[in-house]
Amino acid sequence: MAGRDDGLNLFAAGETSPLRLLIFLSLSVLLMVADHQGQLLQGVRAVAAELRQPFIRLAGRPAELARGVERTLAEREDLVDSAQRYEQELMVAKARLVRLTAIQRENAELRQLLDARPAGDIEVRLAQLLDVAVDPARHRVILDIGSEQGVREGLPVIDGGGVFGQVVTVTRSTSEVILISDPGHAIPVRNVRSGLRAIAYGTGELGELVLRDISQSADVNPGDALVTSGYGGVFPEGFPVGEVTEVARDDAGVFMVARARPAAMLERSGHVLVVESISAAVAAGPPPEAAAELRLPPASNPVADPASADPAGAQDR
Amino acid sequence: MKQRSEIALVGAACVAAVLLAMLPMPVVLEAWRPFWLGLVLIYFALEAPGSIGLGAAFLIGCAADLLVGTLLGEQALRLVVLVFLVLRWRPRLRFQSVWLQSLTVLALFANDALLVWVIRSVEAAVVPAVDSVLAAVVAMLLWPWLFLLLDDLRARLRRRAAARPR
Repeated sequence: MAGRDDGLNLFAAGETSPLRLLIFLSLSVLLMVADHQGQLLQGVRAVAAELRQPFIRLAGRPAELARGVERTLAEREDLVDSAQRYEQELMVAKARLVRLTAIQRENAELRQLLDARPAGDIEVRLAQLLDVAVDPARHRVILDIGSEQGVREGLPVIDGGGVFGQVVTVTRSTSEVILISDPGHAIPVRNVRSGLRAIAYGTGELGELVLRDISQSADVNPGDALVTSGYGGVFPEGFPVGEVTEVARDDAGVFMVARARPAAMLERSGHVLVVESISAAVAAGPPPEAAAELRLPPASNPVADPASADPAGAQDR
Repeated sequence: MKQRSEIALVGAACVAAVLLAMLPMPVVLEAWRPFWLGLVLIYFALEAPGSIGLGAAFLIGCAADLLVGTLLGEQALRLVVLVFLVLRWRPRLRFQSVWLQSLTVLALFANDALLVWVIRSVEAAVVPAVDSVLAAVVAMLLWPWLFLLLDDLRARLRRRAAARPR
């Protein structure tokens, strides 16, 4: 039975006229559409991003406490083992880095000889994922650095395995990143083995990307590595995106569909790297395990010692 | 009858619900996370309809959307639907035993899961996974405890208000 409608007072508590339900339902749908399209509610989202800070910090406390307790109670043996493992990985990474720096130098010289555009630098900044469950269905995470630290919208984000996502919203001290697994995200990729160029879409599953509309004659096999192709100007070229897991006909039978497993560890929380310079693609860059603020000029030795304690010690978070 | 302390309790319960919604969980447990805010508003719509109306549900939902990071209007829609259904059938629901109420809560959140699926599939075709009902089951199991807790808090507030000299 409809409640008493005193002048359609929308906020009268306890009243339940279906008309009011309809009004609020329509309003909600309108808001969702506006938010989905992205542009109309930027201002609101920006304000909300600032107001969220205390909630985010508060909600992250229990996890922080749990981790602290875990660390305090960790067996000495486990810690020693971890430390040894990190030392070894670090040594391997350093060796690789030296080799790749040499390759980069050679690459720059060759480009010069060929009169090609010089490859640029790549700068990364270390960021920590704030441990908050930001609606997993939307595949967003929050970083603890923002515009104060030089983060801008549109910057690519990578982790130790490969491409992680892209910055979408920036506040003074935090930024929101969309993961490559988000159904609304697409990244141009290149098959390392065959050179085939395609676009990898997120599927909503953390462990799966999909490449659609591949022609039947295309050269794609399971096991192929996919890297960013640099097209679109957002992601620099050459970063690992994933590995092809299966290739099959699509529903219509006209094109092929390939599925890939992302190289980045999307489900892990911890640290990521925000790529700050996007003006040039690097053909032979260092592996993404670079340390914070590592700057690699084209023709000189690496400046920063990648052995700064933080990334290795922080991987267990 | 809107008492200030009652409004404060509603506010505090909503804040706690939003924090619980943001609490990081291992990925495996994510599907089991109930819609805390929904549970809280169902309780207040049932027991204290004077403090929650459709308008309040809408505003609280919008605030939650902004804080948690969901699409703006998504939780607002879900909460408005939940509160409407509860207010609509309040006379019947009020006097059910707590166990029957739990079943009703299950039905309400199953309906909510359906709503969520519809909303999500607008962005990308999402297959309704079996585990979307898990959240409803968890909500059903939590209902008696939440009911008792909030009832207790409200009773304390009323006693405190009654005892205060005017």
